[in-house]
Parts: sequence; structure tokens; C-alpha cells
Amino acid sequence: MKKLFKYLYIKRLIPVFIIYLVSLFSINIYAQNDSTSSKLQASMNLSYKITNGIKSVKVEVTRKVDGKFIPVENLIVNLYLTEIKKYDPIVGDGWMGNLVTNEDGLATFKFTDNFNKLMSKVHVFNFIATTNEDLRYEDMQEEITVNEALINFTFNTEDAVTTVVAKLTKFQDGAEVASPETEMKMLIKRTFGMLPFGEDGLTTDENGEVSAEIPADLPGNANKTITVVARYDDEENNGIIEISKDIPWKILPKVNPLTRRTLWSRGNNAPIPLVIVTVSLIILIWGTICYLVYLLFKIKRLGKTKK
Amino acid sequence: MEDLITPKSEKEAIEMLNRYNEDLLPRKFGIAGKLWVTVLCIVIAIGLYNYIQQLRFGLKVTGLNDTVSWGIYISNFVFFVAVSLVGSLITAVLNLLNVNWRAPLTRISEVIAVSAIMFAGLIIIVDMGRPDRILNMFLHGRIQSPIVWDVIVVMTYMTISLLLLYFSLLPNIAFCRDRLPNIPKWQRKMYSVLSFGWENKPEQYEIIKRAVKILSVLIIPVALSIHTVTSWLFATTYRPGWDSTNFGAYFVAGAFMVGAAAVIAGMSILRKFYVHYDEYLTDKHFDRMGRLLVLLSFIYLYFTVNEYFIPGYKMKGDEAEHLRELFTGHYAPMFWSVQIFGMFIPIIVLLFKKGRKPLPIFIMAVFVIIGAWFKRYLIVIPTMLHPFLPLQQIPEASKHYAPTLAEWSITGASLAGALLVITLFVRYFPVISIWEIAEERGIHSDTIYEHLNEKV
Repeated sequence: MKKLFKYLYIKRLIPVFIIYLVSLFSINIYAQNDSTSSKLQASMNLSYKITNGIKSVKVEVTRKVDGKFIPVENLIVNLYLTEIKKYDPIVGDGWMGNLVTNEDGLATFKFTDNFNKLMSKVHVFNFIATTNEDLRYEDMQEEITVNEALINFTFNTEDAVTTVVAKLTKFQDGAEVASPETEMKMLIKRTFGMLPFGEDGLTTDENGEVSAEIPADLPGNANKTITVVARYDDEENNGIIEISKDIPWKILPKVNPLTRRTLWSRGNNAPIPLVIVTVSLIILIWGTICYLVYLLFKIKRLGKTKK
Repeated sequence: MEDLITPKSEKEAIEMLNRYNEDLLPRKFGIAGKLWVTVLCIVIAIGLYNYIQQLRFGLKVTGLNDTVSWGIYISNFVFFVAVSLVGSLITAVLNLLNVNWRAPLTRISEVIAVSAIMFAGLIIIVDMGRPDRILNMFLHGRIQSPIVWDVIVVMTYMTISLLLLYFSLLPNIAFCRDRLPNIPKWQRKMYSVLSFGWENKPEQYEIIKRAVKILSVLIIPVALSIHTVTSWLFATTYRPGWDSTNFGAYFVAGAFMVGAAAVIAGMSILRKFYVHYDEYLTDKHFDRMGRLLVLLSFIYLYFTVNEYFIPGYKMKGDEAEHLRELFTGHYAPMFWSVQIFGMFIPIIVLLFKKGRKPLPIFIMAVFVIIGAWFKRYLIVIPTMLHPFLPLQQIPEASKHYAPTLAEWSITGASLAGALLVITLFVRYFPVISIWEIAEERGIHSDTIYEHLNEKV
């Protein structure tokens, strides 16, 4: 009877157990639903930038999903100068190279020194970006024409006040001319972004110059410098022109983040109370463990002594 | 226990001791035992093969990615840490409370604790992907990081658990050395080395008792620390589901619960496969352990309600999305079955005396253990897939997580490895302490020492 009861008991429990196991594994593990079709539409954007004299063209490819733009990665983009044709080694125009978009949908072409030499007398650029026969996306083509512009820096320090003068020039008919009444930005690089300084809406004068005083009480970097940036932003006509320079600075940060003892500092800058508590606990517990190991050897020693 | 048979004369005491020797000394496995070891070895071999593949090709053989960098390896680690807490519960807590029915359970719980904590340490190394860099943890580790605390506390707990097991095992190892007939030379040599010069002297017993007492006190804060620190690995990270001040206590409560269930499962299997073990692991032991498991389950239920009710009441932002996934979303079947089968049903069944009989309590213990493993899965993976920062501009593969066969097999091998350690321990050492049973049943220490000293 007892055996029968046990048998029935198990028989009843087995289905419950199976339901339990099945429910544990019957899940789909994914973060969000996604669906793809064979040929998708995407959009491409081209921009030109000069940073401290280094010229680059940036391609950004995105597609719209549920009202949001998401990046298109691993897409091959062909970049051409002036017109779509093979590279011309004499003039330097034609096919410039292939770019592959990264996981952010971005790809950047940086001009090499050789290319800069070849293009030294050219100040108007026409860039064309195309995609061809991609398996996932429909073909795209985008074009941008930019006139070259330049920024130069000068610094004057008087009575502990440093003034930055930035001059903006553009090329007209092959000649470099000052660019008056153009809005520019003066910035100081901080840890998490750029801090604007100078008057609101800084505009160049008839010589193409803007000037601004660096706030004297601004703390510099830990290495006794401050990074000043001048920027001109006209993506449609000239692209983004940016120049930066580290200048010596006397005011150090109030607290050097590298020397602060915090929970988020490097290991050798751990808060003292934390170090004391942790080390004390380790000594206390491992000291006791050492004593217990000593007891083990005492047991061994006792085993060797005569009864 | 109230029905312990205490000897009325020295002759009777010696008879009892002889019977304990007969019953409790380790013996060769039968077919079932050998088959069990073979199955475990096969599972381990498959896991090892896949681990070699992981070493060769890196973590790309797993389903881990930039979003879910902690997968089932870490769930498994937390599970092992939880199970390991049982050593402190049964040995230390019951010892300090002077509970008089603990003797047959202590070694079972200690060996479960040691094997679990060993494999907790190993699975972390598996998760690292580059185990050759483990030394960097010690050379360049930041004392501010909970990961460093966890490494320290896991090593400490493993050492203490090993010592706790070893000290009380010493007389039994010596007993095997002196009394086991017809054993291979290597086995006798092993007993001889491991017995560490034990000669059954009263002074040696005094040292053991002192050491066990120290260890019983020491292991409780360390055991609480190990699971609290493990919970802090999650709670110090700003993510939905982990951003909780309840986590330390919640993890400790859950660990005690699954640890008690593991001991019950171990007791049941031993009783089933070893003749006469029902005289030592009696129905009363199961009844008491059942009551303990119900108590621990209620405590865990209390923390579970705290953990989900308050955020569920507020349902704010990303936390709400995470909870919806658990309550009604993709994880709902797993979430609810873990709660129902892994907690509610065991509580209900074990509340009744019939439910605390060996067979039903064993089944409930298995329910709790399986539920506990999947509970750790639910703690780790859904949160990893729902960070506070939205998943934007990341590769498609990083938006999902599905453990690969390699991961499952390595995880399975770690579980099989822990079971193999316990199995081999049972094969070669007395899993119920002969001298502790004798003491618990009122046999005078002098009689025990004298009896144990008789060499065959």
C-alpha cells in the first residue's frame, strides 16, 4: 500500500516537474524585436572639416526606423573629387578611395600630405560620395562643394590677461582675402566639452579678426596648460574650420583629479578609511586562519609524541 | 534529538561504535555509483573540450557580447556562491546554537560548501576569457572595486570552508587509514598523508574542538560577506533591477534557502543508496530540515516581495520596462515558474508534516535548487539587456543574448564537477562523522578515543 502510494505520488509529481522544466526553458531571449527587408532605403550626409590644418571628409549614413535615425554600418562608400571617374594622378581628381562605415554609420577620409601638396593650389573642392550595388541598401549619391577657409591664431598677454586674436580668411579667385562680418566661436576645452568665452555672437571686423579675453580665473589643466579653440562653422559653403592651441597657464585645477582619494580613483588613490578597514579585516581573518594552520601542525607534532 | 538511543554500559557503547564503523566507513560503489561517475566524467569531458575551444578562439564561442557581458557563467557563479553558504548555516549556526541533531548533517553540508565554492572560483576564471591575465587582478586591482572584494572574500571563504571540513575529518581519515581492509596502496598512502599524524590523542581532539569553534564563529561573517559582496557586484552598478539597497539581504536569504535545499537533496540521495543510513538520517532529520527550509523560504519570500513590490508599485522609467519584461514579457514564464515551483509550492508542501517525509521533501528540494539556478539567470541577463542607457547605435548581435552550446556545456561541466567532488568524497571518506555521531548519542569521549585507537 505504501509502495502504491509512493508510486502514485511520483506519478502525480512527474507532470508537475515536466511543466516546471518546460516553463523555465520556453522563453525567447532577445532585447527588442527587429525586422529586415531585402532592399532598404538609407540617407547619406557629407561634411568637410579642417582641424589644425588637417583636411577630412566625413560620410554619415543613417536609415529611419520607427521615426528614429539609426546608423548604417559596414556600407562601402566610394569618394570622388570633382567628378565620378578614375583617379587622375596628374591633376589629383577622380576616385579618392573606398570608405566603410563603422558601427556609428560614420566613415572619414583624411587627406594625406601628398594629396595636400597636389591640391595646394586648389581651394574649391567638389566631393561626391556614391554607393554601388549594395545587397542591403538602394544606391545613393551625395555631393558637396566647399570653398577653402583658414583661421590663424595670435595671443597677447598684458597685465596677466591673455587676449586671443583669430583671423579668418577665405579664397576668392585663388587669392586669400579676409572674411569680414562672419560669426566665429572662441572656446576652451574642458573635461566634458567646450566652454565658450568672449562676447556673445563674436563677429569678425573688416580685417577678418575677432578677439576675446580668456577669463583669468579659469583653472587650467593639471599639466599647466589651457587649450584654446577657434571655430568657424559653415557646412554648406566652407565646412567646419577649427584651430586649437595649448598655451601655458598658471592657474591649476583646485583639486587635481589624479591625486584625489575617491572610490572612482586609481587603485593607489583609494580612500584611506576604506584601505584601513579592508586591510584590518584581511589581517584579522587571515591572521586567524594562520593560527588555525598552526593548530594543524600542532596536531601533527602531538601525533609524534609518545603517549 | 529526543529519541537518541544512549548507551547504558560501556559494552553497549562499544557495540554501538562497532555498528557505526560498519555503517559509515566508505565503501566501493555499485553499478549505479559507477554509472553516475561515468556520466559526470563524460559531461566534464565535453565541457573541457568546449573550454579549450574557448581558450583557442576566445569568448566569441559564447553568446556573450558588448551588452550582455555577464551571461550564464555569472548566473552559475552566483548560484555556486549561494549553495556554498550552507556550510556556515548547518555547521556554524547549528553548532553555535548547540542544536543536538546536527551531527549527521554537518559533513554533508561542509563538503557541498567546499565543492560549490571551488567551482564558483573556477567559473569566474572561465568567464574571464583570458585566464592568463588573472594575476593582473592582484597586481593592478583597485581596492575600491567590489570585484576585488569578491576575489578576496571567495578565496577566504574557500580556505575557511576547507579548514572546517578538514579539522573534523582528521580522526575519520586516520580511522580509514587504520581500519579499512583490502584497499589499494595508493588509497592507504592518501589516508596516511591526509591524516596529518593523527593518533587519536585527547589533546588532539581538544585542538579540533577549539579549531571548529573558532571556525564556526569566523565563517559566519565571512559567509555573509561573500554573498553580500557578490550582491554588491550588481547593486553597485546603476542598472534597472540591480539598483537596490535590498540586494545584500535578499541574496543572503536566497542563499540560505538553496543551501538548505542542497543539504536535503544530499541527505535523500545518501539515504537512498547507502544501507543503514536511514538510522542516521532519520525521518526526524528530514522533518527538521523541512521546517528550516520553510522558515528560510518565508524569509526569502519576504525579501522577494520587497524587491519587486516597491519598484512594481512605482513603475518608473527603465525599471518599469525591466519589470514588465519579467512580469508579463519574454521572461514571464521563467519568472513565474521560478516563483511558483521554486518557492510557493515548496512552502505549501513543506508546511504539512506529510510533505516533510523524505520523498516529497527531496522533490521539493530539487524544485528549490532548479528554481534557484534560474532565479540567478533572471537576476543577471534581463538587466544586462535593459541598461538605463538605451541600446542605440550598437551592432545587431549585441541586442540579443542566447547562451551557445559551448556555454551550456561548460556550465554543465562545472555543475557536474561540483557533483563529482561530492561523489568522490562520499566514495573515499565517511560522509557522516563517526566520532561526532558517537558524541551526539552520548558515548563518553574516552570510550570513543580508545575505540578509535584500536588498529586493525
